[in-house]
Amino acid sequence: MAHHANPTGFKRWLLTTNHKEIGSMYLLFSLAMFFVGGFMAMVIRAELMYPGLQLVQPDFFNQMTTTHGLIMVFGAVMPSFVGLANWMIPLMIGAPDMALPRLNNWSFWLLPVAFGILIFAIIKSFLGLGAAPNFGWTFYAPLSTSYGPPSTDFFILSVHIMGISSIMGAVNVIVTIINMRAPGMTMMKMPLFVWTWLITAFLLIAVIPVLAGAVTMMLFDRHFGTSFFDAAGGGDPVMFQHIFWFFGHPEVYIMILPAFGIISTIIPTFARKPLFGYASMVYATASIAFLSFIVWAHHMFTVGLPLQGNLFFMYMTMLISVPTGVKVFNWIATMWRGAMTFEVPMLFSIAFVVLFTIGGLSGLMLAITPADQQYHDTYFVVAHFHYVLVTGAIFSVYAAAYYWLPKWTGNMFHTGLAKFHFWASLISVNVLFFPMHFVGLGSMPRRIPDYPLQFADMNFWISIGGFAFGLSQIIFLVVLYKCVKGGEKATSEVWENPEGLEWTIPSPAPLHTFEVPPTVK
Amino acid sequence: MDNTLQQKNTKLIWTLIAVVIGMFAFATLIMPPLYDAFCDWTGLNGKVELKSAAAPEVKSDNPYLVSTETAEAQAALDETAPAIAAREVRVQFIAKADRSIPWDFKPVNNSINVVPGKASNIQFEVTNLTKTGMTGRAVPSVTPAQATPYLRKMECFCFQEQHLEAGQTKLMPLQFYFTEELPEDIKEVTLSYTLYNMEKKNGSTN
Ligand code: HEM
Ligand SMILES: [Cu+2]
Repeated sequence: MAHHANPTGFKRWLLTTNHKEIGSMYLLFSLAMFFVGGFMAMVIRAELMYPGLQLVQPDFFNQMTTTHGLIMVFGAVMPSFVGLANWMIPLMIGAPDMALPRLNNWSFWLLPVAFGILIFAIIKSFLGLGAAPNFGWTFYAPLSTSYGPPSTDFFILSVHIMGISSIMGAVNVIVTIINMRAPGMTMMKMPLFVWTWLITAFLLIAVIPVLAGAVTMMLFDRHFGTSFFDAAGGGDPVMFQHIFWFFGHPEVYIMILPAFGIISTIIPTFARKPLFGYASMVYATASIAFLSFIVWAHHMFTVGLPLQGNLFFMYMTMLISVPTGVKVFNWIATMWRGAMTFEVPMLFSIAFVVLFTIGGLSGLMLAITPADQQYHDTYFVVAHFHYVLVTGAIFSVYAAAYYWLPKWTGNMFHTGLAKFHFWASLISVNVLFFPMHFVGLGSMPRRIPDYPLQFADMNFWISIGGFAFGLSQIIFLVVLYKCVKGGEKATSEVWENPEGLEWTIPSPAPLHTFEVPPTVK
Repeated sequence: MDNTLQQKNTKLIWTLIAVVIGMFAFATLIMPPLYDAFCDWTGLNGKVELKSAAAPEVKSDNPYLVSTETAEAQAALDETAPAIAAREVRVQFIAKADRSIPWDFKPVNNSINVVPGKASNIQFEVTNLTKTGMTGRAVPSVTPAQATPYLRKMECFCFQEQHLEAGQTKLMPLQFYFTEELPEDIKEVTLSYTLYNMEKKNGSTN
């Protein structure tokens, strides 16, 4: 392969088609978005620390919850997994790069554009130049159609751009995994992170177009006189919810399947035992993906579906916890009688197993229709999805970052600081989210800037937990900075006998790897 | 990159793009009419099309209204005939004008008790609060939806456009009954009507 003279500086990053550089950009972008979305969470928690209105007006509060949710889901969690996929999938399957490197560059650079538009809307609102989107990350019609502020059109454009980016990323992952595996790497020899990402990519291909369809119909209702979601013209706002959640529920699995892959990679290394039940992990992932298409209406138990509908979606939702339970069982069985050590990636992984399971259990409570009719739209739901997303998805990304950081940078990170990051996060995240279960059961509604007095004490401590968790993440920035700058040199294996092709190349991973495919036995 | 890999990639990419386009079309073009058809079929939208429009019990000019000629309707209308069902169902009425139409719209009675199998009449009062003549139409909805298949309307303002001059007030009639098969566990039914402006918006997905 002939190389042109490599551009330097900003142009190098703008034009790069190297999977490692693009992976790093994705990861750094998602880290930046994590802090932007986190800052909005701090505004929310500051307002909710005491009852009454202190800091912001209700409309601005709603803009905060909306953009916090959108940025965290589409800007922090999803791109971080795409970044890991870019970095690790070619290394894990022995490919020289992603299959479609130029598409890869493009799909990354669409993201700053999409989020630039959203953040622009918020800044505009902050300057008093018209409200930013304020209808929640779920943008239910008619809040986002008849009642949406003019900036809703920015939102629609932004969602379209991030959707195109996700679809291109998913196409790239599928083509890479199907066509670029090293000789001898059969499907059932693929590392689980590759498997879970393959399935995730198929979910993305199937449901991101539905999201694009939803915002397109919104656009038409807003400007071109159609009435998809407007009862005045024969449409139906409940149909919006069906379409949104047909996308939305698979979307939550898009945010957790790669995490399952990460945890299934890390636990065997530090338990010093092969993963228990590899094949069952693959099948469990596939069945979760399949089931995720037929449970969407568990988000709609209160819209007045017929009894049969509620029952169907209740049973299907409960069924999903069976393959999820298989996974948790396999992780525990992998640790069982293993020679365990507790390096930082392992700490995050164990915390993941415990805390994600708490989120799964509250999910199961929400799956019970009559119970959900009480819990719906309360802080109980907020507690549920933050356990699965923060202590689930985000903890898994931290575990992955600590696991592969020495491979990426060639340096070991500062273990003491990293452990401090872990313990500070672990304690604060529970102070932050656990009491939300109780205020939720006490029926405190979600997405409100003020609340009745009986919730005051709990909310005070939730906010304290929130600020502590926010501050704890700054420790990660320090660890990251120090690790990039220097530190103890990492060996190519980094850990003790880890499994996978990525450990056969030197640390730091050279820019070009596996130009001659390795042979897998 | 060798040729065969390139070919394999191209083929896979086009397959995936076809899936993407297919799902987009599913969401925007196929799903909305399918959803409407499903609601009509199950009666979830509060309107039941009564069998085929040609059936004798259906009013010839409106498939949502029953003819008053059938034995069932005659019995319902006959005040002297004894009711078979020895129970009462509370029927509540909700009337609301959409923000697109500044009319005052309310039921004359908020609720009545009815006996299944017996017809009742009630009226809704509507006033055009604006200074211009306007046309509106009310869209019905039934809660719980399980009661919909047993609801028979003999007359309803909700299937016609209503034109009101500036400041005009009008009484609009509703005549209906529940068939005697209405399940025992349904003790309360809410009939709700929302009035929409028919002037500017005529686009519809139906
Ligand atoms: C055992 C597995 C799970 C079950 C049974 C479950 C069940 C549910 C139910 C019934 C709701 C609706 C609650 C309501 O609005 O009243 C819900 C909400 C939610 N779940 Fe789960 N869930 C599970 C796992 C997950 C996972 C793995 C994620 C993401 C990683 C997730 C993310 C969410 C989110 C984001 C919402 C809230 C959406 C919103 O209204 O904003 N859940 N879950
Ligand atoms: Cu769901």
